[in-house]
Amino acid sequence: MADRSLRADDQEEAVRRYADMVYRLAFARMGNTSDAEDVFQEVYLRYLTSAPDFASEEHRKAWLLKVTVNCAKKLHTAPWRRRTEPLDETVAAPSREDTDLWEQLRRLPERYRTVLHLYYYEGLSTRETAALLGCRDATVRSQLTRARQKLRELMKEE
Amino acid sequence: MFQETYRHMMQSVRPSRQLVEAAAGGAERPRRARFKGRAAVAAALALCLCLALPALGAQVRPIHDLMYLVSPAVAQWFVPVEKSCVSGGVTMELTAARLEGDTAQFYITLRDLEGDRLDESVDLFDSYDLLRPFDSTGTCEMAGWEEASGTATFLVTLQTMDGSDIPGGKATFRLSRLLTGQETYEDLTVPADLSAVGEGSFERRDLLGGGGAAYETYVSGDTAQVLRPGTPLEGFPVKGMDLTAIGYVDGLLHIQTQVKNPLAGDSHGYFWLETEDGGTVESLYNVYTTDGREGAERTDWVDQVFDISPDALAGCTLKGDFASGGSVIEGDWSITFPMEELQ
Repeated sequence: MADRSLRADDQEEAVRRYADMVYRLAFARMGNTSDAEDVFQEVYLRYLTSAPDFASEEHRKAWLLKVTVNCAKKLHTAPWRRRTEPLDETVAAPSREDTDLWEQLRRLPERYRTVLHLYYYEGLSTRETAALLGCRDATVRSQLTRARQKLRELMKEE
Repeated sequence: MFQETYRHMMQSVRPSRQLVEAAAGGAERPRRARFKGRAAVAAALALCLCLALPALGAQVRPIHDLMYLVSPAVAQWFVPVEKSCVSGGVTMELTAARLEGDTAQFYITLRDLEGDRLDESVDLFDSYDLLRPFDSTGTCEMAGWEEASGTATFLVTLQTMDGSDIPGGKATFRLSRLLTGQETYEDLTVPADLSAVGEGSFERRDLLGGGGAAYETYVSGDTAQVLRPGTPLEGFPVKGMDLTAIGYVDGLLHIQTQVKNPLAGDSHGYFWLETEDGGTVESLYNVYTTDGREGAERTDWVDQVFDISPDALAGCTLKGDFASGGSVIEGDWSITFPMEELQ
């Protein structure tokens, strides 16, 4: 009984600890709060029902990032979603610079936004990002290059 | 600069309190019991196959027959499928598959119908995609190369994310590019004079990425201080790659390689220093930079960074492992198969 309580406390604490991380990655990938919330709920449903026993906090974090990417991919292929379009949305950012950046980021392909977020926000190396996304280090590097190049082009258009 | 702005922007993105509370509240629910025995059996089976199959590549027999030669116990799990498609003059065939609990495995073979463009270095080049009606992790690894018929065999392994049994439905394996003809160089001695390496000419460039044990200690932001590329070293034996500079930047030794048109292949390498007494000095980290041009015009550089004094360096030999060159075969290969048939 005591063990079960401890596990529940531990899980609850982990949900809170990684809530921002999961939500931000979901938002970066999906581009709007409604889809990010759907992904967030799905990730934590899986976490609470079927997460493996984690060997370390790094393992838990990597699992949550990976499942967030997978859930976001799945949401995009859901049959009901193919007939809907997400609402345009601006980020509730504190500065004009942030808002402008988000407007440009929203015009990038999702896979570019994902690698940008994992690299620049989560601070993963290209090798770690590649391992998490299941692709080659060189693929992540070329996607980062293309993403930044595309952003520069978009900024020139403004 | 980008990193700073991006981080600032993302700080304002947060889940609502209600959303977090709802998720945290779910933690009180009991966890579903997990059945680990089956996963362990599947992993042991996969390991057994991985060890057995490369040795079988030299024989010309259907893969299913070959597995029976090694272990009937293993082969009985696999179902012959024999679905194929042709594109770019290369035939892709799904030869055998098995489904056991949370794990599915497939053998895919590739054979060139128009010549001998494939070789044992053939690589799927991250262009494969497996569409399936469930969440899973997947890997694809080369399982064997059969010289006589020019057939490359790959083993694709899928496992459900939550350890649950794989449900029915259809799965599709798609492939769009193959990389062949890569040359590998192992334990190569690089003919570079390390006896008088001095300060390098350096510049700050946009950072494309990097890695290594001390990467986070030394690198931050979205630019990095790297060597200015110089004239390629004559006699550097790796095809498609140049050694463009060696020098000290801020007290650390940088060794820089350059690859032109990098997206057309997958050239990469790794240096280490061998000391006079046979010991090795590994690098601290490496950083990737690019000129940012598109297509064939693009050039990438890697600076591999070591912590070693000029005196100690003078007695060292530069060594490395490399893979370079190769050509790409474009195509549109796709095979769909019902999972039920594997039950």
